[in-house]
This record gives sequence, structure tokens and C-alpha cells, in this order.
Amino acid sequence: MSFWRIVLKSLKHHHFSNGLAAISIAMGVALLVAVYSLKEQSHNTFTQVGLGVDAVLGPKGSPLQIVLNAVYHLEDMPGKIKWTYYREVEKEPIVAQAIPFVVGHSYGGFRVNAIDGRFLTEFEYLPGKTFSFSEKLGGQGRPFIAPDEAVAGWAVARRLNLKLGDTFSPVCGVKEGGPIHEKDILRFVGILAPTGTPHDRAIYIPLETFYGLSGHPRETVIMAHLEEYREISGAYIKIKRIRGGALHPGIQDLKFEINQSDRNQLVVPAEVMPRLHNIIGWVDRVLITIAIMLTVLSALFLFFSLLSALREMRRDLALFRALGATRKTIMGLVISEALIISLLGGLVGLALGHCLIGVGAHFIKVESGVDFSAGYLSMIDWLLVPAAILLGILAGLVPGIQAYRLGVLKNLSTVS
Amino acid sequence: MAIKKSSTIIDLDSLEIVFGSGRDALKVLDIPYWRVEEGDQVSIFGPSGSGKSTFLNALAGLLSPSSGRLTVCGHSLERMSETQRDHFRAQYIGYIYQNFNLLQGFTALENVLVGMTFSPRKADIKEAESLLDEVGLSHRLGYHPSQMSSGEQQRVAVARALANRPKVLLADEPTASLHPVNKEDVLRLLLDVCEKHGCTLVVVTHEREVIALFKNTVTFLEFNRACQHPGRGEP
Repeated sequence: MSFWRIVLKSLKHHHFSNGLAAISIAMGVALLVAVYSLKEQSHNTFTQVGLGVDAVLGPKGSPLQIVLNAVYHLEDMPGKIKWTYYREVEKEPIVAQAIPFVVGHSYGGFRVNAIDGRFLTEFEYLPGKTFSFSEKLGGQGRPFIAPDEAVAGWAVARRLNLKLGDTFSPVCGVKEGGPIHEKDILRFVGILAPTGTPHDRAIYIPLETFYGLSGHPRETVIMAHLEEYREISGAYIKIKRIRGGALHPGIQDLKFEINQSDRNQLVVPAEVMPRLHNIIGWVDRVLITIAIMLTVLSALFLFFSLLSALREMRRDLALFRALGATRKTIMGLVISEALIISLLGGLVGLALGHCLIGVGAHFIKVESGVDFSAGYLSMIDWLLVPAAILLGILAGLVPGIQAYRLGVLKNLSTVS
Repeated sequence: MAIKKSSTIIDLDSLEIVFGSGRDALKVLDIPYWRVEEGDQVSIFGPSGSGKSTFLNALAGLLSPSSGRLTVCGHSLERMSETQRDHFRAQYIGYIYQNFNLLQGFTALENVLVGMTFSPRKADIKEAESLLDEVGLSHRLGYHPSQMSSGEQQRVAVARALANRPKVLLADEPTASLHPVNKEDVLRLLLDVCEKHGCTLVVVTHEREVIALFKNTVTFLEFNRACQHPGRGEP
């Protein structure tokens, strides 16, 4: 019978208390894993460097709301801006590129953005990277050309199981159950290769298609033909770079100038998003503190359950000594038990944490539109195994030392 | 740890065991001289509480002598560290207890296998099964101690004590917890298996019917001449 077999037998013998200790560790770890994963994923989602948008030209309203809507396909746009104003901004010397768009439609729970075709062919969502339709990279088809054509972001195509040639009618509004533009049948001609950005989570249709959708008021139809009446939701702005790839400092003057107007504003996502993190950061910290406290409490539970088991095991351990086991072997036996319980709890907690995200992701997506992946590995996932080993050693150390110092004869109690 | 060649397997001289120190010191054993030859079967008789178990524990290396010389299987126990005595016990000693001391969470077979685990030999299921067969328990391999009679439990203890192929088998009141019907059976089994395995057997007992089965019996108080503790078997 091997050392490990004896350890397993002993674990089995005290299966109830050991099981409870493992479950409590699993719960603490699951919470820690889930909170950390959600924290990191949301952080990555909202702070990804180079979403390609240096600034958003939009209507007056909450800057955060404008960024969330224009860049992350969340929330609603607080209003519209004049096409003519957009054209003026586009001509500013420090503006490298301006891509107009109109939001306000959806399909299958995803936003349908009417956008200038240059977005799909010229816009760099990361430095040097434009959207791809390459099959090798996971894309399909081509950019839209005709008004009845559409392109799906990678995540949308995957979630809705879209294929080239599939058709759809946009829903007016971004909430489920809105009126459907039934007479307008659009056909998917392209699926974007994954970019790992929020751009994967939207459907793109030609800008002019928006103005021609049936059911919109007559003023909207006129906008298609008369530029002075035309309105858009906003525009993605690329600012020229100076040496070292830094944004042209003139952006601050441009922002100041645009923000003086009554209807328009220039929002810089890099300035706005930290505010969001300041708002939600404390929630992260509270949740992580709770998770850490829960894990520490579960380690204490393991410690006390090992001490309690040790009281029951004294005779057995003394007998092992009488059979020739050394003090170190006995100490190793107790610490090994603690290690196995904590590792088991840690691994179950890891799986449970990811399952929690998997279950919760659906509801979060429905409520906020933000996608979370159960398969995402956060920093805590990598630290978990060494942390579980450390936890096991710490929890098992004192009981292990007590086992080391166990008196053989006292615990075998034989006097004659 | 190799056995040193000698026909004398237990050899002690001026052995003293004292519990406590200073004014609280209590001399439990004081044995001037004793020898046991390899293969002998010896019983040590004495009243309950006279220190027989303490003596047996000293022979097993569970207790370190306070003074004197104690050599078992050629190894001087008084010079050994605790870890060395653990290794010594694992290699040379089999021990049977009055209250069996079986592991309750382990089956009969596993109890015997545990007896092999800490010895230098590898645990061998076939050998463990054979030992249990030898003590008449081949039909109880998967039984836990709580599922067996006291006689059967002591047979498992005998098999376990032989599991590490000991040179010396020590038995502490091996029949005291048994029903009278089983006593002689277990004792005869013990004598037979020790003879078969070439083990030296030392049994301590306070039962006269036990010593009747031994050719060689020592009255414990004959050599424990200075047992000072009141109630610990003064003549």
C-alpha cells in the first residue's frame, strides 16, 4: 500500500468534513474566479487600446453614453447631428479620416449600424489592421456594395448562425419587440474575420440604406437626397499622428471648438472610459474583497476540520509510527491531505467559476449587450494552482506539526 | 539497515528506564541482564501494571533506554536517533497489541498491506493475502475490523505483524481481550507462524494459562528488580 493510498483512505474515512472543506474552498475560489474574469473581461472590453476611434463626433449629451453607443454598441445615442457639420469637421486639417454612421436599428439582439462603406475597407481598428473577409482568418464574402446588402460582425454571425446569402429585416429601435421593417429584405454578403473588438458585435449596412428604409417618416427619405437636411448619429474620427505615433495636440483645440456649439460635441474615448472604471471600480473591489474573505474563511474551515480530523486520527497515526513510519512521514500524511483537499476545492472552484460566467453571460448580454466568455482565462486562473498548494500547506502546517509531535505510546495507550 | 550476524537476537545489560526527571523521576525498569537467542519463543509473566509493556516498547524501539545497553538484531537501540529507531522497527519488529490496534477504516487486507508500507520491502498484495490465508482469514480479506469477531481481529493483527517479515515478534497480552475459547487458538497460531517464519517471539502476559504453552518463561519481577512505583507489582 503506497503512501498516497493511505492518504486517500484517510480522506475517504473523513469524507464528510473533508468534503465540506473542499466545497467551501470551491465556493470561495469560484467567486474569486468569476469576479476576476468579469473584471478583466469588462476592463478589456472597455479599454482596448486602439479600437480605432480617436474621437467620436456626436450630439450633445452624456459623453460616456456616446462612447458606449458609438464604440461599444451599447446604450442609445442621445440625438443626431447635421451631415453638413460632419462635412465641416471632416475638412479640419488635423482630421485624417471621418466615418459617418447612423444607429438605432437592431437584429437578433445585435445593433444594425448604417455606416459609410469606407469603414469596412479603410478603417484601421488597430494600428495597421483593417477589417478582413479572408476565410483563412475566419471571415467570408466581401464588403457591401448595393443598398440591400449587409455585413455581419464575427460574433454576430457565430451567435445567430448566419451564412452568406441569409436575409433579414432590421428592427426599428434597439430593444427586442420593436417594429420590423418587413418590406426591407437585406442580404448578408460578408462576415468579418474576428477582431476581438466590439466591432465583432454589430451588423453593418450601407449608410444610404438607412434613409430608404420603409416606414420611416418622409423627412428621413428626403435626407437621402438633400444634404442640407440630412442627419446622422455621429462619426468616427481619426486624428493625424505626430512623431512617435502620438495624437496631434490640435485635438484639444478641435474638441474645444466643437464643444462650443449648441448641438455637437467631440468625445475622446480615452478620456471618457477611465470615468466609467472609476464608477464601477469600487464594485469590483468590494466583490474581490468578499471573494478573498470567503477563500480565507474556507482555508480556516479546512484548518479546523484538519485539526478535528487529527483528533480522530491520533490512534491511527500513532499506529503508523509503531509500524515504522517516521515523524516526517506522518507530517507529510497530514499536509498531503490538506493539499489534496485544497487542490480539489481549487479545481472544482475553477470549473464552477467558469460555469457561473457561462450562465451569467447570457443574462448580462441580454441586459447590457456586453459579451463575456466562460472560456476566458484571467490572471487568477494562472495563480490558482500555486495558490491552492500554498493554501493547503498553510492550512495543513499546524495540524502537520501536531502530528509530527504526536506521542506514539500515549496514543496507542497500552499499559500492562 | 542490515542484521548483524549473531545467534543472540536480544541482548541487554543494566537496562534502566526512568520516566520524568529530578524529584519526579520514576524508575520503571531496572534489568541487569537478559539474552534471547534467535528463534526462541519466550513469555514474560507478570501482574498487570508491572511495566511489561514498557519493556516491550523498549525492545521495539518505541522507548529509548535511560541508561544501560539494549541490543536487538545486533543494533544498539540506546545509540539510535528516533528516526533510526523508526527504520529499525519497520525492518525488524512485528508488534501485536492487546487491543489489536487495527485501522478501523481499512479492510483486513489493507491492514496487512499497511504493515508492509513502511518497511524497506514493497507492499505485495499476494503476500498479504497469503498471510491472511495462513491465519485462516482468506474469506475475510475485504472485511473491516468492525465486521469481524475479536478472535478474527487478533488474527489480522498477527498477519499484519508478520507483514514486514520481522526478525522479532513482540506480543503484548495478545489474548487478554479474547474470549477464552479463542485464546489457545490464537496463541498456538502465534507459536506456529513464528516457528514457520523463523521469528523470535516475545510475549508478555499476566495469564498463567498462556505461559503454560511456553517452554521458556521469565517472571518479569525476577529481573525487574527495582521497580519503585507503588502498585506496580512489588513482590
